[in-house]
Amino acid sequence: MNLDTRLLRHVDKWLLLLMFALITLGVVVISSAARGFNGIAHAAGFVDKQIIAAAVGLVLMIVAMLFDYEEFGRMRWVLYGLNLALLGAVLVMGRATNGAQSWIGFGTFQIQPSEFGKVMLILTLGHQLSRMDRLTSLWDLIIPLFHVLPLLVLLLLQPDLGTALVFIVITVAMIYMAGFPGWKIALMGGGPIAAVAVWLYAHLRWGVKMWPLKPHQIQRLEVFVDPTKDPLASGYHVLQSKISIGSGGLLGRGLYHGTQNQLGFLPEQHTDFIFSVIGEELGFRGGVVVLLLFMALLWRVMGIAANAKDRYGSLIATGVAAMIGFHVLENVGMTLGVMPVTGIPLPFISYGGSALMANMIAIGLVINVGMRRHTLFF
Amino acid sequence: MKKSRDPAYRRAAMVTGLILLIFTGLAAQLGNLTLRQEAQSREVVLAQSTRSLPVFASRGIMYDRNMEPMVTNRPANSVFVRYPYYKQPEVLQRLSAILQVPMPEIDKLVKDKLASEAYYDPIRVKDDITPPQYAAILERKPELPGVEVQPQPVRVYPLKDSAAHVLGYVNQIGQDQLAQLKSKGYQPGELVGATGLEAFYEDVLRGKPGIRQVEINNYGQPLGVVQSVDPQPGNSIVLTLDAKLQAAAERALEWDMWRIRNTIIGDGPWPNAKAGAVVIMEVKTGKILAMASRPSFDPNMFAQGITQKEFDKLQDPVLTPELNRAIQTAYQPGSTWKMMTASSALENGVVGPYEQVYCTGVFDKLHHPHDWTPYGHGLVDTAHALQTSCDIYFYEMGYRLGIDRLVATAKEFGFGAKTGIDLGGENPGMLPDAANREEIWAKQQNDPWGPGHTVSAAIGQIVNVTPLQLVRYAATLGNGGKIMKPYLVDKVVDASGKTVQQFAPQQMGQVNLKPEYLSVILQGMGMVNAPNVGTSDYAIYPLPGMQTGGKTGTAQYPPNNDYGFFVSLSPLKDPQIAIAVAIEQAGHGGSVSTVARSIESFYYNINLPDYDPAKVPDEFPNDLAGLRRKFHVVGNGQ
Repeated sequence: MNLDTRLLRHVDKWLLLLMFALITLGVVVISSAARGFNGIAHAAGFVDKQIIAAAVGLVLMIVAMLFDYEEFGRMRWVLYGLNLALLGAVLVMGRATNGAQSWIGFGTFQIQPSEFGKVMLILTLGHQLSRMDRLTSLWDLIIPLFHVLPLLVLLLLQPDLGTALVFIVITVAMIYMAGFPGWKIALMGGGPIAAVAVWLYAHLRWGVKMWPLKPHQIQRLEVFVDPTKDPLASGYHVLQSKISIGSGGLLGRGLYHGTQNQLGFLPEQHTDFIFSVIGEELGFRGGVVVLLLFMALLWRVMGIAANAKDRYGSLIATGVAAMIGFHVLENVGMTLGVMPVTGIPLPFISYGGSALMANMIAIGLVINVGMRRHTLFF
Repeated sequence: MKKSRDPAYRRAAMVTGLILLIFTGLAAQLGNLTLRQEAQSREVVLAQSTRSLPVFASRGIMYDRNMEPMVTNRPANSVFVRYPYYKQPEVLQRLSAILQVPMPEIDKLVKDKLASEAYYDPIRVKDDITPPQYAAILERKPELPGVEVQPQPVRVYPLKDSAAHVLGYVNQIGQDQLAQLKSKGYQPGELVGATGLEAFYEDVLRGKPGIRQVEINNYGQPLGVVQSVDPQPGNSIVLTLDAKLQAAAERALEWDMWRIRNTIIGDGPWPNAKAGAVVIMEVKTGKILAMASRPSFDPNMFAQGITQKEFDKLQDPVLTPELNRAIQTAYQPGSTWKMMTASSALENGVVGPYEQVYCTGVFDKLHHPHDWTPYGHGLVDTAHALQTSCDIYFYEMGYRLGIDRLVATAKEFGFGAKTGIDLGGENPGMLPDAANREEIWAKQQNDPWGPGHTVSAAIGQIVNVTPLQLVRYAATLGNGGKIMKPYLVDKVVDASGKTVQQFAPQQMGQVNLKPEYLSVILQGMGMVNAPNVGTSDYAIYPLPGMQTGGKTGTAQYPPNNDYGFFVSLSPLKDPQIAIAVAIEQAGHGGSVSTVARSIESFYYNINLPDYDPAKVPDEFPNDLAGLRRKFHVVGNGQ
């Protein structure tokens, strides 16, 4: 560790403040959502666990801050290997929730490796891309492609489509930041999306098989197209979420006073559908505050990406921004009924230790990048 | 180096811009849901998080004039399924098995509900479940999420098919009706009067539904009462009807129709005499004491679920059991009309009350229409013309009067217009006034009106009147020409029995006829019923101890058998009640008068001799041959 204590003066305090604001807000909302999920008597356990996770996350974040991020670049093969090993371990010894195996446990303690995998991907892929001089033609994408592909395969085997999507978005954002032409990305991105749309249409219209998607994934896509199709099962979540948020109105029904949450009509209200609780209990005002906090946080992160001292730092910050940004888009969009349902949590706010810690580590890395751009001038 | 030229800076700006765009979109949809769809979402949230079932008020009771209940309520249980559980096929299948309601029927309910705006309101699957069904639902509660059992009174008609047309029945409110009546606070599943008094006095009989709203969680477990408003029962009505007299009238009508169908009467038997009506009115007040129409139906079957067979029977196009023939069918009254013609002739001075007209049996002023008897009646004045039902006399009156004066008097009596009785669907009847002559005869039938039509109208062909109009007409003759409005409800009482509204007799008009003329007409009606000389059954079987007045009528309905009519006033001096009887395809009017005599014997508590066919047996006998011997050719009334 080569730490110059003067560096700490350049820690992005706003970024820290925004992150803690989101975490605090998250704990408050979890205290309400957990009541609905598990009854008032057991709500405290969720809050305690989340605060402990935040504390552990803070330690991990500081560690991620203090190492020069170049160190992580040097450790890339270790990190990449660890990533593969953890994602592979999930397949072998994982525990299934909601149709996907994404947890591994040690006794009562369990973690979700894919959450940390995202951060490790940012570090390893960032280093890979930062060393590439030329990144303009499709052929140049072969190396990054082979970097991501094994991880994606492992994720799709779980199958965890949502996290795989996050990996793809992170990769695309970083490739763009590394200099790959934007119009080519737009073409390549538009192609698959159009293909999925046509496929989905063909499936709904003529019953074409949607291999290799699992039935629950196909259903989610179908229900995304028409939530009333199955209002008791998959579509139920979306409808309940939309009416919860809608019933919140401008100011919300008040913390702990949302019937959708408290009476258990919202599914997964402390994790994936926590934004629905925010909408119901804190209203439009609360939801906009959350979105503004995220916006400001991403603004700071992208500011650091723009001003990093080297390409690797810039790519790390961009990867983190893409990760958090896509999480917010997918999670909030899902609760608002404009994105299909995938099991992706809302960063810093959803209950869940692995995601919180991984996101704090990611912010730590961004702060790391941000504070080291000044070392040149000392 | 300028920052904006730095590719990393430019690309970071692009990414930031994209993020900004995405967040703006999310905020927009957030605003759309919270600010624009708030009310709508709240409604659904409330609907699914509260179990809010209306508690229907019990409808008011209908009593007869002696406070005997004619329509009441019985406690019963109805089964509902709440949204969104009614979309679970397993739940519906279990319910279907328990309640014995076929799946397609339930599926249809679900489909209709989903198509409606209020899809989150509970579906009412079945009313009036049996105790074992109730027990089964309670027992299997965990397997039946969203299923509710709600107490809900069921309408009971203890007299079954008696007075069914007058009392009416209730239906579960329909989709269209619900939209129409929403402002009055009607709830889905509520009962609403469909016909008869149930419909006419809907606003009186219907109570105010209460609400029981309980907050429930995702698993349907109740957490506490949010709101509870007790229902207010509807007001009750006390009818002018006398349930016992009503039953007697119906029994008499049925007996007479049976007798006409099964025994030799005149040229009979007349096997198609299956439909008819009787109305009994209090002469001085206009109170309807009984109103019967046959065939009838049991309104209880609507509440209990009607079978296909019962439904088919109701749909019979000829017998039309749901038709209230007393007010909804307008008949040609035949000779019962002759008092009307006599009134018109006397009133207009075309004949004197004791002026005699010579009846040869043929009316030679026109194309020789002849009398019902070829021998003629000789010299007859008004009273004797009524007694013998002499057609020639009344042809002559019609001929002298002309159609306009005849119609004017009929209108004075209130014919050709609704009586205004407190029932819906009343038929106004039809008079050949100038407009109708032009429209119906000249245009539609291409048979321009002529004197032949006029003389036919004078003996009660062509014109159309309802049995209710007939009874009011008889009462008018017996009441010094005062036309009383017929009515069925005496008063409205609240649940504690206090009178809320009292209805008084209402005089609608006065027939401009000298008392002298009126007494001549009543004298003629008395002679119709007089022993040995009259044209009604009464001539052979007089009512012991009471002088009555009446008039028979026979109307031609080719190719069907003739319809029979009878109007009666009793007692002849200071009449108390008027009766009108109509029997379709009775052959002729004489035998129909038996019904009136049965009713009068019941009303005045007079014992009839055993040989009188008006004595209604407890059971209709099987020994037809014996009956034919007993009741041989009787009466010759026209």
